[in-house]
Amino acid sequence: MNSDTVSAPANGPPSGPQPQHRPAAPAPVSALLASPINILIVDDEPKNLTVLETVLDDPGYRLVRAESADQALLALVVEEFALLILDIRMPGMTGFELAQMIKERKKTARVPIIFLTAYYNEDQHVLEGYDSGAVDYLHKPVNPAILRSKVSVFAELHRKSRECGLANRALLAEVIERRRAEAQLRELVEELEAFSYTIAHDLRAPLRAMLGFSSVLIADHTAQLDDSAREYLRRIAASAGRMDLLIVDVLNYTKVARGELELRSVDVERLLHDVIATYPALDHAGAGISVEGPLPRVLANEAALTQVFSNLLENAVKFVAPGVRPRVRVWGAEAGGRVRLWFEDNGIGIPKDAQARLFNMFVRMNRAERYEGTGIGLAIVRKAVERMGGTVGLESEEGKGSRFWVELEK
Amino acid sequence: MSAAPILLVEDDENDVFFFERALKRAGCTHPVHVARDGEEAIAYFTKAGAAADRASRLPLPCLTLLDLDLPRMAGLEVLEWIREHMADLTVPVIVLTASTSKRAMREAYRLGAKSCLLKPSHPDELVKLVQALKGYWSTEEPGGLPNNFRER
Repeated sequence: MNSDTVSAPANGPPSGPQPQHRPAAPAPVSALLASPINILIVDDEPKNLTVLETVLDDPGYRLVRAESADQALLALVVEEFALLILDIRMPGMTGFELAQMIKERKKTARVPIIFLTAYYNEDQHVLEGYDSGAVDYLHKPVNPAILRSKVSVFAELHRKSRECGLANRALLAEVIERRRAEAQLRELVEELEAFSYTIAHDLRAPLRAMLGFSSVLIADHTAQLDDSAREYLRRIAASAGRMDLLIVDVLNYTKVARGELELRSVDVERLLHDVIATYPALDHAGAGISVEGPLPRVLANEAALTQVFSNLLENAVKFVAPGVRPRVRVWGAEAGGRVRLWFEDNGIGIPKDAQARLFNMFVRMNRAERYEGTGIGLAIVRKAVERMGGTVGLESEEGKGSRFWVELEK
Repeated sequence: MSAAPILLVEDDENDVFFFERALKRAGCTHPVHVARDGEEAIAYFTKAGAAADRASRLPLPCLTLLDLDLPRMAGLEVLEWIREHMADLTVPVIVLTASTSKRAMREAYRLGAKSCLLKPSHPDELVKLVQALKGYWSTEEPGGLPNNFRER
């Protein structure tokens, strides 16, 4: 074999031997598809093989000659073939015996065979014994047009299955790649969520101490403190309290965003009354909350829906102009298997241009001094409702109150 | 015999302070024994319940306040140990945690916790909470043995 000497390029790395054999790059798909297909022709008469070569002379075919069953078997080990053209009457192993061996080998079992026979009638019953559809026969002397036509059918079949196989392999590789990417992403998201959960959780401990000690100072040592000292302590406690609220909201958001939300039919009216009775923030300034029943049941996760209701109601009573008594009206409407729950308030309203981003994280419409809040409440509402297969929205005008709605399946 | 103590299993010094203050404010006169981790808690229980010599036994706590997030041995393991080793004694345990993990709470209940409560952020709320638990620490008969010395 004639091989070129490999010399390292002049500007190549000076040390270490250059690898002589690089792993062969996989042939491009187009080249593989364009390459001629292999056909094994087996006959003990060389001149018959030459006839076959003449008849099947085509750039799309590559013919490999075998003058005995042994040669044919050897060729089959070395290369892959799209088709075998096999003389039945051969000294030593007959074409049938050879075919039997080929069909028994897993690697070659599916290679189609065209038998050439001079004694058609006698061999017919044997041919019928092959149940594989990929076996055909022709009798000698061979009609060139028929042979070419049969070979071209098998060749086409082979090309198609080769294309199919390649496409399949490419697709499979892509699926595997995607699955791996998805798994990686999922793992990353989980890590990130667990991380933020831990951080949020660990942040609360020192904060509780800050809140606790400043409150205890005010409560237990009030006599030793002057007015400004008490005021500073109150501010420390308030700031720590606000940060605690923020962290709790982040935790709530994570919980809604990542937890398993099992959906059940929930009695909306009872849940609303529970929330109104148990959430201290809803007691704000003698707020009047009226639930206009009966309300239809919805398909929801009760814990998540509780969070949604309390956040919406707390907002509704919180964002009122100074001195205004909050009034909130809740009612429901049913349409097309879905239930829309409305929460109407007499608050300060939301300007049109701000409504689109209202449900985003950390969006606050007002200065912190006027209305306390974390900017997470409505993000939790939307996330929770979406995870329960619902939608949220609002109708509002600045200075004229807001109507928030939540739509869920019945 | 001294009054049955309250066993506080808590690794956070600040929380220990707030609990002790809350108990005092709530009018609780029982001594408070603090275990800084799960192993210390079990060491106490071993001396209280399992000591061979009756006279040298420490009094069983009338109430155990257990944090779940502890170094060395987690709160849930402590609960498991109590259930395994103190089954025939009344050892009321209230779990107090800063975490809101439902799974941990369910597990705590399964392992015999009387109640699982969130640690309040504000010291005044902690006082209220401790007052709500009064049933556990104020049932002592004057001069007599704490009621939880009765065997089940």
